[in-house]
Amino acid sequence: MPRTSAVDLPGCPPFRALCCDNLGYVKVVEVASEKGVPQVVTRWGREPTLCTSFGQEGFALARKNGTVEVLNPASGVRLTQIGVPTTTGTATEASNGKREDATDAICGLHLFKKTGIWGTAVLTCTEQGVVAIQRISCQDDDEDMGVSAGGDEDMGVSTSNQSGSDAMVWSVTDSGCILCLRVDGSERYAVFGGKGVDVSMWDLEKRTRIWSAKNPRRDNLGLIAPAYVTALAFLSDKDHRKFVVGTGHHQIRLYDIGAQRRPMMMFDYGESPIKTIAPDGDGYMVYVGSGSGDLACFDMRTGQNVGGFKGKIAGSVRSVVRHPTLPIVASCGLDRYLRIHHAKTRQLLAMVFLKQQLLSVVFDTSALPVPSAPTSADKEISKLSDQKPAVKTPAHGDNTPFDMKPAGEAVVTGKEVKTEKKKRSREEVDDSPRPAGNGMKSKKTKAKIKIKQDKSPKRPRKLKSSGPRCL
Amino acid sequence: MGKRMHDDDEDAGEKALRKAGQKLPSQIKNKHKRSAEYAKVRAEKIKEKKQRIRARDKAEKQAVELGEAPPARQVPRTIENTREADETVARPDDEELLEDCNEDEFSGHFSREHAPKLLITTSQECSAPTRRFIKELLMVIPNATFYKRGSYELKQIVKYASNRGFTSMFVVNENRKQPNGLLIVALPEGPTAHFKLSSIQLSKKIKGHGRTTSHMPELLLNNFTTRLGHRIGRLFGSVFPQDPQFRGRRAVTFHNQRDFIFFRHHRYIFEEKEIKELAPVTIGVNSDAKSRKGMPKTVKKNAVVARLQECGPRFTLKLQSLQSGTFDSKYGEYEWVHKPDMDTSRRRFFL
Repeated sequence: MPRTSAVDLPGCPPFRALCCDNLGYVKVVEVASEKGVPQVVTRWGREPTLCTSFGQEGFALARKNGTVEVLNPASGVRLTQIGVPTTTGTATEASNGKREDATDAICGLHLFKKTGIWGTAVLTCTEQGVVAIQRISCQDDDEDMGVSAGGDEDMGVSTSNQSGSDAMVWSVTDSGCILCLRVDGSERYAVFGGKGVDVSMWDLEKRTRIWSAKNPRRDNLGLIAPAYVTALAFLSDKDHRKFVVGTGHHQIRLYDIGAQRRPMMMFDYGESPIKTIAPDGDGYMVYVGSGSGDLACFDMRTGQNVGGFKGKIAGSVRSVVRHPTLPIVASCGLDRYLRIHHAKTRQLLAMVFLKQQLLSVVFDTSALPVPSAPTSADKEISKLSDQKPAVKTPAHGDNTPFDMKPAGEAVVTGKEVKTEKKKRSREEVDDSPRPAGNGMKSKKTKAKIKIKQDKSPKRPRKLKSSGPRCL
Repeated sequence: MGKRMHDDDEDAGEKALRKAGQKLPSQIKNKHKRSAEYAKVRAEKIKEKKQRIRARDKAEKQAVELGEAPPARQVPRTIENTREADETVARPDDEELLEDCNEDEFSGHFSREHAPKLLITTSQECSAPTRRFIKELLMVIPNATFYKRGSYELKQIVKYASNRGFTSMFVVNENRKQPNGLLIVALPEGPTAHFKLSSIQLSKKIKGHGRTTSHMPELLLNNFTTRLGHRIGRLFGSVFPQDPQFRGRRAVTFHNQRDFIFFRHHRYIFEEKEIKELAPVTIGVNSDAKSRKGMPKTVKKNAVVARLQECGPRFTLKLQSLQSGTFDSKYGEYEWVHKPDMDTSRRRFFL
């Protein structure tokens, strides 16, 4: 008999993941037992999809026809559907609407938390930079869900196809093409970036830009690469100031909006564009997938490549995600496989062939048992936001923290309040959720202090010759 | 392992020699004598093989006459039929595959929305062997045009070609004045496949080659089994027109074997020919041996046989990468790219 070197994959712990492909199918992959093999349980829908977002409310999908649907992650029943505005309505925007480099396609989607400051709402962004926040009405009665869960294929349960007249719509760019968007853990800020559009952070409540990146300095040949942001990720859910950017020029950049407008750290990975970045829960590790099928793990404190993920990844990695509680990382892409790796050992645990080119994978965390100790950052944030709604209206009603202030000024505001806050002990700042009554100012200060504290170990050291470039 | 470890491995000739107390041929030092001995051993082997086959045929014939199932023939174990199990093999009853085919970049071609139109160009400053190769390609592929590369960038040519209604583009790359790479770009949306190009034989080198006619050829795509192979097959299919002229009896073949894609171009003919066939056995008339004694064993019969004439050229392709979208070496993303860690088994194939 021929010798076969095939080693059986070790299998992975029980999880449930939703995988969306280019045909528009959503495939539910589940592992039933410990050390089990992932299997496709069901398949929902069939409508060409562009991007997805998973929230408490459900699983949101941006369709190619310009609508956003929210599915029940347990049953696949469509909870609601909403049209997305593609113009801001003003005359100048209408003339800008005929741009050659960008289309009306939705390039970014975020489903807000039910308990957050926005309630049930979605944030969408088109390639032309038209951003909209729209409230959606989902059936959130559990009884109703239970009834509709019976008919799996019944997709027209409650179709409120409103075009979003009450939507908050504004434009984040008037040139270039937006490619990605991320909303931070507190859901107050969002970063945008794309081809010809450098990263900028926007305050979602004020709809103003609070920070924008500056292109890195000229390289040793005196050249400036045009902005080409392809992937974004916040390092931690608790801190909106530090985020990681992947570019089409296969660079990974770390920005800290409290410090400077140029990247804190910048290094190359591979030779093909970065396609996706996902944060680890711990606040310094990121998982990076590239266009030629490379997947690696980076420590953003030092900029070191901790290690690559093996597993014969043949095609572009379109999506990578870390499970909030289990030490597993799921990745998928154009080679039609969903792969599960161990987050720490980077060993391939399982792979499933899902037949189509895959766009995104998310872990279904809605069915997770609530852990006794909130280990993951996700849980912390949800706790935070639970307390928020009571105070949110006065908080940003009376004080107006940011209106298009340059980054430097924002830092000064931080310093003023810092003096009174200095008395707080380190522990107090570190763990407890923010006491009620804090406005955004104090929140910002807190974040500032925290950065000060953990900067000393985390600050990237300046490396002399090779390795990551510090700016 | 200097000596043979097992007696079973020794073939019959050597065994016989050892029995007779003779030296093994390898122990003979005189070269002439040794080779003469080897010739004998070889003759012995051939004889034995013939006997074996005769015995097998006899057994089969007997079984047929008795109305029994003939003993199963042994199937040689090859690398292909022991290939590693592959879950990506496309099945014809897979509805998702069908849906994907209806929506992919080639669906327009296969639903006959537009006729294929091919642009062929080269790497910059191509040499004479490349030009000769392209000349033959132009004869094989209908509706193909050669454009001099000049000093244009590929991206410019892609743009130019899709503006002029070309549906695919070939770029022949060369190294040391020999063609060594082929880039196939489906226009206007991609994908782009990069192949290693080897073993080129132009028709002049092919013995008894025929001349190509201007009929539309038939296309044969063999063995493109996996999902990736299916896609590559569709890419090849989109280069050729959908309406073959069967009068021309031209066939173009892309034959995949162990991930190598062999290109062949033939003219075929079905001819009537007189062949000999075993005399039919009718039970009751001539079923027993006695009654058949005087009868002829075979009868002559007119049958239709197929004959092939190769037209050329021949070449071999090996897939290096499949990029989604048109050619973009800097910002493009790959659907499949060959990586060294895929080569850990010789029984693993991707097409």
